[in-house]
Amino acid sequence: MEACNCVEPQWPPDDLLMRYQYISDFFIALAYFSIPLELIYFVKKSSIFPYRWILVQFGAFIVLCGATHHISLWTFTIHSRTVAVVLTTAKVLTAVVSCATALMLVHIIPDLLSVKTRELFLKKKAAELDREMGLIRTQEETGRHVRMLTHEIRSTLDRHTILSTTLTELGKMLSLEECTLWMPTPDGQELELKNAFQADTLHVTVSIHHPTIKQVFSASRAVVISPNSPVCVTRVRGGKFMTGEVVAIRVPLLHITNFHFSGWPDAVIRPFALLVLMLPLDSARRWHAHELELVEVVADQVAVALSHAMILEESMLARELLMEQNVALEHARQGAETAIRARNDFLAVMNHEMRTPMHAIIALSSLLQETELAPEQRSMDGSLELDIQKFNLPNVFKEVSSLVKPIASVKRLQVNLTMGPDIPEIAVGDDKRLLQTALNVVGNAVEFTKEGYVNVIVGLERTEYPRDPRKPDFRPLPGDNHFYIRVQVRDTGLGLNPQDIPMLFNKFVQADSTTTRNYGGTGLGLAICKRFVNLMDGHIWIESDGVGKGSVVTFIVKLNFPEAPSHLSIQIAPNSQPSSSQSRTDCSGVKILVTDDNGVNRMVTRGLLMRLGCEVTLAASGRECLQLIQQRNQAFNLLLLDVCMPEMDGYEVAVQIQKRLGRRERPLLVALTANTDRITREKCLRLGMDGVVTKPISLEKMRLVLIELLEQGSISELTQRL
Amino acid sequence: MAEPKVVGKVSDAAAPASAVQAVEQVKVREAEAEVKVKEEEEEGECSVDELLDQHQELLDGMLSEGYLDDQFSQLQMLQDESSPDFVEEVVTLFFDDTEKLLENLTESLKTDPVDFKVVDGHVHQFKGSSSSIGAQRVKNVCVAFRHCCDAEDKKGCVDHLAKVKEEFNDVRSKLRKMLELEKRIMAAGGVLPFVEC
Repeated sequence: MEACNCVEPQWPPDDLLMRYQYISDFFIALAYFSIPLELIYFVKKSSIFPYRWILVQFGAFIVLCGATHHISLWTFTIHSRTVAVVLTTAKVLTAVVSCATALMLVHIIPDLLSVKTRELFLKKKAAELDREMGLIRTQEETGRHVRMLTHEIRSTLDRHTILSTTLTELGKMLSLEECTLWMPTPDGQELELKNAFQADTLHVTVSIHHPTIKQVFSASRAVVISPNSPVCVTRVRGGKFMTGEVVAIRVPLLHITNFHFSGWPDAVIRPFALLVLMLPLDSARRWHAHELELVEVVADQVAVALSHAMILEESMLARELLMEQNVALEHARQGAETAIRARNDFLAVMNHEMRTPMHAIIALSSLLQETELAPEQRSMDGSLELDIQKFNLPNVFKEVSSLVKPIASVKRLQVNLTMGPDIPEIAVGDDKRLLQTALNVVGNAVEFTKEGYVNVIVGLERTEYPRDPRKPDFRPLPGDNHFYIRVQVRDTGLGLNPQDIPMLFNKFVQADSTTTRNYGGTGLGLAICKRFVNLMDGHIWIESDGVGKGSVVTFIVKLNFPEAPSHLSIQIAPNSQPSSSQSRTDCSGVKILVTDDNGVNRMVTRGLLMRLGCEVTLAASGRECLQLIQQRNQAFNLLLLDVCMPEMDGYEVAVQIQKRLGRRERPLLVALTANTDRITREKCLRLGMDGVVTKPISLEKMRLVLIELLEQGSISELTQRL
Repeated sequence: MAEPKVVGKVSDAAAPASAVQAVEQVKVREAEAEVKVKEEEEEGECSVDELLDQHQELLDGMLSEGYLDDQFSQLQMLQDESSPDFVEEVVTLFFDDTEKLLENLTESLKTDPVDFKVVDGHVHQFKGSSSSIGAQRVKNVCVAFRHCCDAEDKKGCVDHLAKVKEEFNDVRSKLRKMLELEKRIMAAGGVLPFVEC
């Protein structure tokens, strides 16, 4: 054998390369194994990483690469087939995985890149929002300031306070160098510096026609003006410093007179004030949009507050003026009242002195007119005749009372008239003479009473009333056709000596000659009264407790009842008023006989009348009707007769009734007919009916008819036509 | 509501040939009777308000269609606590009187020759009572009827008699219905609107 060391190859110098390869391979393998470990570690740490599968692939790829390189370490020497197989397997796997990974990466890399862009985008947005937040905050701040300012301005109505507050706040808020307000002078030609933030009011004026000012006044928004204009007045004089930007805005001054009908101020003639704001000197600040807005808002608020203040001032002035006027008027009124009172007193005195004799003259002249025997008025003869007629009894006394009241009130006397409840409304007699008598008696009472009252009491004479002590046998008794009334006149006047009383009714005599001198008048009055009272079958007398204790004159006269169905008038007249009231009780108790051959009509009419409170009897034929009347003989007040009845019709019944009963005794006759023509109506009236009513009858029609019949004894044309 | 009359007629006209048919018909009649009872029950369950509404509707209808006029309203006003059944009494009397009167009229128009005075007398009566009640349509026909009597027109009279009977039946059935409603309202404790308290 040769000594060839082939079994142990020597380390050829090419083995250096091999060695370096070997080492590099080793390190590569190391790295290849450690990278996945790191990846796994970090992925485990961050739980949200979305590409785990990729990492797994990566890991596999790297591991396999490492394995491959590792295995290739063995291939530098002679290696067995197993190793070659293993290596081949590893390489194949590596190839597969790496290709897969490569394919995968194609998908995910754009995603990863976009993640980055999204991040950038969000960052930009965040920055923008931050900026905007900053802006909003500043705006909010300024808004708050404005609100505070507005509140301050509005909470006071004093003009000066408003302006100084405004300027101070504005200046502070916007960090201004100067803030001034210029008001128009009364003549409207100049603007005067009135209020300022920093400067004292320097009484500077600027003409209103300056172009800058014109420019500002014509714009409704804040205007940036040149710092050189005359309104830019600062504390620091001298032009060395660069004044900052200046802004001016007009402030409208609103007066009451500016608000016309349409409610909006007139745009043309308004006066304006000027608000000037200056940024600090030597600063690079400029006016921002939101600051200008703020200024505009403030200017508006100032305008409103100023107008309020001005309106308030004006109204306060007006109120003071009114108060002064009121005081003056009050004085004038008091003066006028005093004057009136003085005049009234004067008139009262004059009146009394003139009236007293006038009264006597009037009484006398009425007497003169009354009597026919002009030259014979002093005749004792009872040739006076009563003029009898129907009249309203209470009215007589009411008239007396109203005639006497004026004189009595001048003498400050009370005249009270009391009418008894039982006095008939209508009486028959001589009302003129009754009036004269009453007037005379009451007039005397008023005349001879200096103070106090005159009471007139009128009532039906009753037997229990006290008689005249001097004539006890005069006893007035009421009868069927007549009644007596008693009139009593009490006064708190001079009174009479009881001894003088009998002579009073003699002519020309007065109780005391002194009274003649003091009070004038003649003695005729009472004599004439006595004459009249006697004619009326009555009596008159006087009673008195003595001189100074007043007197009572009483007279009783006879009057007759009015002629219409007597029982009715007694029933109705004392209770009801003359005017027709619509109450049910007007017709209550009236007895009515209804004659109609139709059962339904009978029933309906009965229902109607019962509703009106009447007592109803029904008759089904003319014959039955006559029978009933015969039996009860005048028990009925009213007959309702249907004219169309078989056998005996309504006309026939009416004729029969009138034959048997006189006009005064018979009940009222009313025809019921469906015909509305004149012929029927005339026929009814010709036959003596008191009225005609057309069918069908309504409740109201019935009521009216009844009322008219019972009051007047006939139905008016109008009601008949209903 | 289906009329049981129809079924009745059928059963009268075609005598049931077989027991089956008869049974069917009985069933149908029963069913209809049930329906009727149910409806009556339902009606009974109407509240006072519903009854009042029906009453008012009926009354308004009669007034607006001219069956009744103002006079009827007058009568209603006369009803109060002292005469609570006034309207019913008057109306019932009217129905009774009119029936007699219509019989008389029919008789008198059958005679030959016709005594127009007598006929006129009856019609005059009828006109009077119908106008007192406020039965306007009836009254109007009476007025026309009287013209026929004056003209002694027999055919016209006969026609008008038929017409007046028809009108009378109409107003009678309506008034009866109204009175029945009033009874039910009072029974249910309601108060009629035109009765003064």
